[in-house]
Amino acid sequence: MLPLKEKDRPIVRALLDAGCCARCILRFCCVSLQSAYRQNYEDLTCELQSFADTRETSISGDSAEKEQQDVPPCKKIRLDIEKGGDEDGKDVKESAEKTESNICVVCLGVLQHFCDKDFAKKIAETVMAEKYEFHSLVLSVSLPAQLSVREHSAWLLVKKEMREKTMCLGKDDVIQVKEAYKWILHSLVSQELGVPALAKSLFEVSVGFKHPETDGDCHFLAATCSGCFKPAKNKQSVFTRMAVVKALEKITEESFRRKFSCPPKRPTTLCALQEIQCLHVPVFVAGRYNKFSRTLPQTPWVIDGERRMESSVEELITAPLLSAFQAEGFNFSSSGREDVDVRTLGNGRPFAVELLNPHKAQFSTEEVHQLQETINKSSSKIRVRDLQIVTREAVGHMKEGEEEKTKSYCALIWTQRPIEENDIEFLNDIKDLNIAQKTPLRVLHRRPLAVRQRVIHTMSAQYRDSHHFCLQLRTQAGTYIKEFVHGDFGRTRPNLCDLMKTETDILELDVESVDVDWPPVIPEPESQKGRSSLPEHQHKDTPPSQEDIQCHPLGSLF
Amino acid sequence: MEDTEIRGAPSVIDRYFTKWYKTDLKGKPCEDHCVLQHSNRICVITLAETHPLLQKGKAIKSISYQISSACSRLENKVSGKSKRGGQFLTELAPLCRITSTDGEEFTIFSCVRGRLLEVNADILTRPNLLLEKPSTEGYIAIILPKFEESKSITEGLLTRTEYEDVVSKRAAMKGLRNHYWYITMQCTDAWEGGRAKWHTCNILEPKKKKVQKGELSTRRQFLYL
Repeated sequence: MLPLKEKDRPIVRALLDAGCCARCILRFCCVSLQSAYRQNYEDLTCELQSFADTRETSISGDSAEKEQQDVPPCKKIRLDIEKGGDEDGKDVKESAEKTESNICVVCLGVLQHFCDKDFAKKIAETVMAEKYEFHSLVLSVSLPAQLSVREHSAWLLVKKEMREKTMCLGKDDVIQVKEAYKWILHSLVSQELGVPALAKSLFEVSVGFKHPETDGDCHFLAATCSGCFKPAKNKQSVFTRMAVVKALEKITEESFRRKFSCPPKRPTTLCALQEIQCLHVPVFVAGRYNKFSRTLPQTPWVIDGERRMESSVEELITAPLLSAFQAEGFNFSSSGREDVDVRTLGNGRPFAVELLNPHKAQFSTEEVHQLQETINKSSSKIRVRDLQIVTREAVGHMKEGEEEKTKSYCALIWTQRPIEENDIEFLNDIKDLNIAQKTPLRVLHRRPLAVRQRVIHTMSAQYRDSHHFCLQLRTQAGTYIKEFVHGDFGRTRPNLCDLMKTETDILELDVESVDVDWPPVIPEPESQKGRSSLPEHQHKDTPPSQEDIQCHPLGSLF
Repeated sequence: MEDTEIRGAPSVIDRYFTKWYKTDLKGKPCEDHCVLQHSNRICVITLAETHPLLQKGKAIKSISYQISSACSRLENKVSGKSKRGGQFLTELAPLCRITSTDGEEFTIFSCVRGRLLEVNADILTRPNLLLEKPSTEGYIAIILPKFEESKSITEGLLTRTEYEDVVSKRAAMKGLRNHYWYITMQCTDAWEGGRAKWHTCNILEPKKKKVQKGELSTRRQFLYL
C-alpha cells in the first residue's frame, strides 16, 4: 500500500501525463517510506496508475478497481528506444503514448533501469575485479547536470498543480533522485558484496551516468545566469552540477518557463552508465629516515627532463610501501629536507607518506614492522625507523614543528688562512648568535627574496689540521648552514668568514638530529632487537672502503 | 686556479656557477664584466679581474645606483616566488656608476636580460669590498633571467677560455694598443646596430684601412679576430 493521500492525486496524474516514472512521482509526493521505492517497478507503476484513475470520492489503493485497459502499459514498461519522438503525429498518437515515452522525463531512466538486482550485480562484479580489501562501502552517484534542470521543470509543474488546489509544499521536501537511488541500491549492492553499504565508509564506489541527448538542456541557463558559469582549468564543461543548481536558484519561474518546456521534453534514449569507480581513502604512513649517502637526493632530481643521480630517499622508502598497500600513487613529505650531498644521521628525519587509493589498508603492527625491515634490507643508503600508520591530522604535527624546533649539524670547514688549535676555540664560547640570512642564491629562483633572522644556539669546534676543522652547530630550524659558512656573497651576516676573519668554505655536512618529537618512537620488538641493531652497528664501523657509510660523520676526508 | 690547489676542492663559485664574460663594454677598452651563472639560472654580475677599476691601484671615490634622475636600482623591490615588481633589464641596461679617485667614471652594465632581484648595497658603505673581493662580496647585482631564456642569455658572452684568450691577445698587442682601441670601437659600434654589416681592419697596417664586408653574427666571432 502506497502512503499517498487524496491531495497527492492531482500531482500523480499530472506527472504521469508528463511522462514521469513511478519512482520520480513518489519523490515529488515526498514519500519518505524507503520500502515504497524498493518495490518491483512494474507493480509500483500499476499501483500508481490505479491510484490516479480512482475517482476522487473513493479511497485510494484499491487495486481491484483497476480497469483492464491499464494493464498493458505496465507490462510494456520496458522501453523501446527505437520508437517514439513523433509527438505531433495525430494518427499515431494512441500508439505513441504507449511506446515512446517510457523513459522518465525527469530521471532519464536512472530510477527505472539502473536500480535492479542485475545492475547491483554489475557493480559488485566491477568492484570484485579490482581486488580491494574493504569492510564496508559508501555508494556515491554522479548524475548528469541536466537532471537538475528537468527536476526543476517538473517541480514547477507540481507547484502549478498545487496552487490550483491551494496546497503548499517546499522544494526541499521532495526526495532527491540520489537519495531514492541509494535507498534502492544500497541493500542490493550490500547483498551482492556481503558488506554493509553505509553513509560513510573508507571505501567509496561511485557510479556515474551520462545522457548526451539532453546535454543541451542546461545551455539556456548560461544566457540568464552567466555569472554562475565560469570556466575552470580542470573542468571539461562549465555546466557542472553545482553551477546548474546555483543558476536554478537564481532564475525566476517566468524566465524558466519561457526558456524551458514544462513539463520537460520526452527523451528518446536512456541514460548510459559512464563508469563505476572504486576509491579507498588514503592511508598515511610515517617514520624517520637516515640517509648515509652523499650522492642520494631526497626526491628524484630531474633537470630539463633528464634524470640526475639514480634513486632517491623517497623512492627507496615508497617502493615497498606502494607494493604492500597496492596503492596507485603517493605523496611524500618530511620535516625539512637535506641536500643531495648531506647525510642525515642520528635518529633521522621525520617523514610521512600519503598512499593514494590503497587496495589494501589494514596492517598489523608486526606487518608494518616487517615492511620497515623490507625497506631497510633493500638499500644500505638509507634506514627507516618508527614506521607506523598514522592519521591525516597527525601528519600536521610534523610540519608544525618545522620552524620552531632546533637541528644539530656537523660540518667540515676549510679555512684559507692557516689555523692553530687556539684560533678556533673562541667559537665554543659563542652562544645564541643572531644571524640575518637573505634567501640563499641556490634557492632564490623558487623562493621569495627575504631576510630571515635565525639563531645559532651553540657551536663547538674540533681542530683537524692547519686548514680544516669540524664544527658542530645547534641551530634554529630553517638556518642555512652552508651559507652561514661561506657567506653566500656576503648575503648571510655575520657568517663564519666574518667570525674567523678569513675565507671559509664547507666541505661536508651532516644532519645529526632533527628535534621534532613526531612520529612517536616505536620500540623494537623483543625478538627483533638483536637482529635489527646489527645494520646500524655496521653503518658506524664499516671501514672507509664503502664511501657512503662511515664511522665518523666526516670521516671520508681523513 | 691557485685557490683550488690550496683547498684541494673547488670553491663555491667553481662548484655551483659557470663564469661568462663580456669584454670592452660599450667599446671602452678593458671594461670587462663577469657574469656568474648559477645552475639554477640566477646570474650574479661582477667586475672581471681585468676591469680598469681593479688595476693599477685605483681607489673608489663614489658608487651610485642612481642611473638616472627617475630610476634608482636601489629602489628595486621584488615580492613573492615569482619576484613580481623587479625592474626588467636588457643586456645594456646600466646597473651603477663608479667614480675613481682620479676622476674616471665607469658604468657597470647588466650584460644579461632578466629581472633585477637585488643590488649589493654593502659596497656603498664598504667600497673596498669591490676592490678586494670583486667576485664574491663585492658583486654588483643579482639578475633572474626568464626561464625560457636561461640558456640563450649567455650566447653573446665569452666562456672563461675565450676570455683568457682575449686577455692574452690584449697583452700581446700592448705595442699596438692605440690601433687596437680604434678597431674595437669600430666593431662595437657596428654591433650595437644589431646584426650589421661591419668593417675589419688590418691590425698590422692600421693607417691603411682594408675594408672587408661581412656579417657579425655573434659577439664571440668578432673577438676571435
